[in-house]
Amino acid sequence: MAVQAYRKKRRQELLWSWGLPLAVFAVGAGLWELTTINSESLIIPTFTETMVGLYELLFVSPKLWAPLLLSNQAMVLGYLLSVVVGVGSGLAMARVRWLEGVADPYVHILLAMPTAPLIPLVMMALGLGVESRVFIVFQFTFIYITVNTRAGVRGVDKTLIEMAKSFGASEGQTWWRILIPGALPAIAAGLRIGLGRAVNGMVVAELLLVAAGIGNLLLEFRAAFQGGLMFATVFAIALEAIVLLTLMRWMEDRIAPWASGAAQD
Amino acid sequence: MHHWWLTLIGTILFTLSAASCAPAAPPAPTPAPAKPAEAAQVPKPSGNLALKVGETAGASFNRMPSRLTQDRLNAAGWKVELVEFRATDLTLEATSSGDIQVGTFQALDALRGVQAGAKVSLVLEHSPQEFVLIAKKSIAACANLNGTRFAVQSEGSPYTLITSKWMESTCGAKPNRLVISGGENRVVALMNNQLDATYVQLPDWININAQRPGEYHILVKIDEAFPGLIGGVNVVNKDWLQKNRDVALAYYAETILDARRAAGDPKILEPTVRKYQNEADVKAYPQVYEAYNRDLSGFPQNGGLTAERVKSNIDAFTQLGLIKPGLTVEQVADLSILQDALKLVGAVQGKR
Repeated sequence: MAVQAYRKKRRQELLWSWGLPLAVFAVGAGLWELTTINSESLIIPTFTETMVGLYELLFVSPKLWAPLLLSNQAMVLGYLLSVVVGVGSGLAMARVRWLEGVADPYVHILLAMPTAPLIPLVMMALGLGVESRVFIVFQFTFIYITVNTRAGVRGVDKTLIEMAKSFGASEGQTWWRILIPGALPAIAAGLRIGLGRAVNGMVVAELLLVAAGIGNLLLEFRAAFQGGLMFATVFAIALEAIVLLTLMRWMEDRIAPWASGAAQD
Repeated sequence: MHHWWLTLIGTILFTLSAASCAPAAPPAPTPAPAKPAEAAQVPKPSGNLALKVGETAGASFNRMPSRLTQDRLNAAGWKVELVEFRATDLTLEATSSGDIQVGTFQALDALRGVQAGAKVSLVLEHSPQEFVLIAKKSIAACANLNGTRFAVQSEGSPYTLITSKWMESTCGAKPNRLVISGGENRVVALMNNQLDATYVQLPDWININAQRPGEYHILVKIDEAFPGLIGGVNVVNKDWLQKNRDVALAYYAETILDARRAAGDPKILEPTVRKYQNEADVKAYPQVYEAYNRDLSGFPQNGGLTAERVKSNIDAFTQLGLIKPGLTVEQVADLSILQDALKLVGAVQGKR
């Protein structure tokens, strides 16, 4: 009985976690197809054309892999740099009041600042190589990690910190035993948002700065009015983001189950 | 008895006698050669005089005669609205869907668009082929481009492929291509010593040379390397053209007249340049105007397009692999509007 009840529960969970998103996707795809099938647009393909284009890019004439690998080099480097700087600065700002006072206005500016006007400056300062693309990815990403990290540390229950102090905990012990575990859910959320932003930054850097990989492919398809292939490339980037975020979630569940609520299962 | 008919006959006879004695009328004067720009008048059409003209953002010099026409027509009661787009494909999409009636592009973009299904027709060439390949002074000739840092707009851009073809056929050079979209970004990179060569529009070259005289030079003018290559064109939405032929005819007749005015006198375009371009461009205007007429073929004075020219461009682009085979002049262009406009304003002999 217990096994049957467990299996029934798992089936329901799978239905909710997979079935519902797939159903929403199917409805979206259907609407996309219906609204574009008679549109005669030069730029916007139908869903079917996009899927055909994706199959072609991935398997028939695999033009996607080499540019994707090249673009991801900048993405990975930019993201790792963002994690180090973002988590570090978020932790520091949360505990050092005067530092937060100094940095806060700049955090707001960086959250709102558009990237396109920076391009000539970035080009002049860092050149046309991978460094400038890494910088754009970094600029897209680190501030979100910073803000979430800071919020996470600030959100830790103050009574726990006071309790730790009353038991003679050092600053290091307070960080290691109270603050970081308490802030981990917010830090994890920041890292996930940051990862999505890094993928976004990777593409923007190549469309606005130097089109080395995926950006080059997008521009090429756009110039030739190959809307199906262009959207297929965008789809592929989105699929990559989904895979990376799913992997990140899995790692989160293993390393810090309390952060993702997996411990409740 | 008074015979009235005698009086009538007498009057007639008297009149005839007086006329035969009058001195001979002087011979009709030889008509002075027509001054096409000033004398030709384009009748204002009836119908809807509202139209939207789309361009990619950035008021480059090649569009100044069009801007002059638009301002002049608006002053005469038309409603010509300029719509700027970020990219060529957006302009073409908008023209094809009828959101705008007239679009402005380079010829190859229009051909590719038609081949992709755009419901547009080429009508007129509004500016010459003005792209030039520039390089650092140390790169003296084509062969020196081998292994250098050469920036392009995109891999699929017409000028990337045209300049590649030129290098291949002239010296076989293979530079390292960097894709940097945005002419202004390429110029910044070049002047920051991050590039060795790139292609730019002639007015941009004049600005670069003014800021850094002697550091760079023109390796090749596309106009010279590929004579006959059509430059900037106007396309129109096919449905709109069918329903508003008179309006289109008048618009293009006026456009041709302004191109002629601009070609004949640098002062004509100056107010328009001051209105739409930035300070550096206004300062460079005299040199740009001179270069347009000296180094390029100048603004087309008869609309630029003929069936032969369109066909030769289709053939050239097909051979370069830039468009798929099979495109015909009839699919791409509606030359009847230009031909009718030239009947209205006359043609200038010896000009394209």
